[in-house]
Amino acid sequence: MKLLKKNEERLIKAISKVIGIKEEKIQNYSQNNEVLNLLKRPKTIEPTKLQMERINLLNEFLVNYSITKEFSHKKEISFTNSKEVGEYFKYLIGNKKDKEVFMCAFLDRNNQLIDIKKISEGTLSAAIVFPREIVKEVLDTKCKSVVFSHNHPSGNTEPSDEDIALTNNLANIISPLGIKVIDHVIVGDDITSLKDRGVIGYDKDHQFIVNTNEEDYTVGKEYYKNHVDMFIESLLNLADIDHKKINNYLNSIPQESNSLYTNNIISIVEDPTRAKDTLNLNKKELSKLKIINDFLQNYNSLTNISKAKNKINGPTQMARLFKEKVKDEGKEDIYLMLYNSKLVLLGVEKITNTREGNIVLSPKDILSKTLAYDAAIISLVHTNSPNNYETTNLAMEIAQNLFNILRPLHLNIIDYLIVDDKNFTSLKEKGLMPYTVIGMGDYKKVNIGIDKDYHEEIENDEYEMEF
Amino acid sequence: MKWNFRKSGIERKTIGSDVVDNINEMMLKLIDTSERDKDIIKNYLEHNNIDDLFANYEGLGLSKDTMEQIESLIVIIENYENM
Repeated sequence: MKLLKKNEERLIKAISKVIGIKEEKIQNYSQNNEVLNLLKRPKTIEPTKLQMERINLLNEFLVNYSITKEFSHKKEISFTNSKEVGEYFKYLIGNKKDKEVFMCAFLDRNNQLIDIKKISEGTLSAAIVFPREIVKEVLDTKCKSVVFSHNHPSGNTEPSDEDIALTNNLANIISPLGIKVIDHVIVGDDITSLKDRGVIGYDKDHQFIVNTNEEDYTVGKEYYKNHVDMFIESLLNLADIDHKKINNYLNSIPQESNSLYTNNIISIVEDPTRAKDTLNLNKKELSKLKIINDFLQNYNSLTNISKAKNKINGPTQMARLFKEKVKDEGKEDIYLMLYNSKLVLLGVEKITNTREGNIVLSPKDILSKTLAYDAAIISLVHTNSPNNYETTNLAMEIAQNLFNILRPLHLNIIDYLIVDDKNFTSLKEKGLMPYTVIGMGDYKKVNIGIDKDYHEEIENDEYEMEF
Repeated sequence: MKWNFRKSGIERKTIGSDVVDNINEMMLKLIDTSERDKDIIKNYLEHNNIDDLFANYEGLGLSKDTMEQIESLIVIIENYENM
């Protein structure tokens, strides 16, 4: 039997004590192996389930202890390139061979480390990442940017399509909060930075490229024009309306506002009776227009649900979703529309209740629904209210209130629509949304003491609207 | 664990807070001992780091078996670091 060195004897005793494996077994193993290799390849000594659990625990403890020793003497850690980030994370999770671990480093504006958190732990080949958890940590740490990292237990750090898609998805979610995704580093036997690979989008300032909400929301004049032309062409073909009548009508309607112009054109088929007068339609033309109108109403009803999953490209589309509701029910209500950061509609909820003849609206309820849907953006649609000064003023108050409640959570209210059976008003289009006019002076006069009262509003849970 | 407070009021951790919490938790799991000794270690780690524990465990009033287990951990760590 090989004579064990004194240090080896101490180590064997120590491992035996901590893991619970007999010393003789470890001594036998050590005859042909380094003792500590036992921790890397424990199955060779056939440990019991409990012993295996303790080996895993000890391994994890040793890795984490090494990290604290390595970094605890530093007062601050800042990352200036992907190599530094990669080495840091490789130290943390690069050696994990049993599961994928997804981590996030939260950095300040100088890329100095504020904190590092484990976001999720998965299986050998996958880790489920909940963006909401990241957003929560992002808000908690007050960071300005983040770096993601996860390990590939196989050691091969080649990014998968899912890795890239996840990074883009996360960037799209947290960018609206003003937080930049600097990099996503995959660690294993090697280090792969998605930033260095150029597989995630950065501009020349190394900022993640995502579509801003504003770009998504604003539809250019050209886009409108092309679609108006195509719409008119199909209408002429379907309804056999005299070209001259259409042209005269188009020349008579104001073209300053894209949505108003389009809305007037759409109204030809949406309100054939009105169109009869404005376009001077004959009986045959009116009859065909009515058939088209019926068809479109049925078509819209049928496809509204599936369309709700599409991106909302502007207030016209938003208002159209409520056309049937306005016509059919005729009841004054406010609906909350919830979107993700790319303005994909996640859901629509009615948020008003009637109590003792008053319509009651709860800001807390709106906030809780927004969080429940994981929404990044909301808009409100006020149905069947007189489209007048009073309603607009009330809408501005509500929008301002919600703006002040949502803003600290980096959530956004993008529009407030007042929809009746004839038309709609978009506060955004009129430049009356709070974030577009804040600091301009006049608007603040109509606020209802938002900053100091906002906590009170939340406490009181709801406020009643007087109509 | 080192802390660094800045004017901005952001609390900085050079090691992720999860990592530090994990180490303490794992330490407590690895030491197979009485609730009394676990409480002593837990309380100690609330105000000190794990290296402080390794340096001062003999003066904490822990049982002989607990001290032997901590000593075993120290031996494993020393060897691990020299690997």
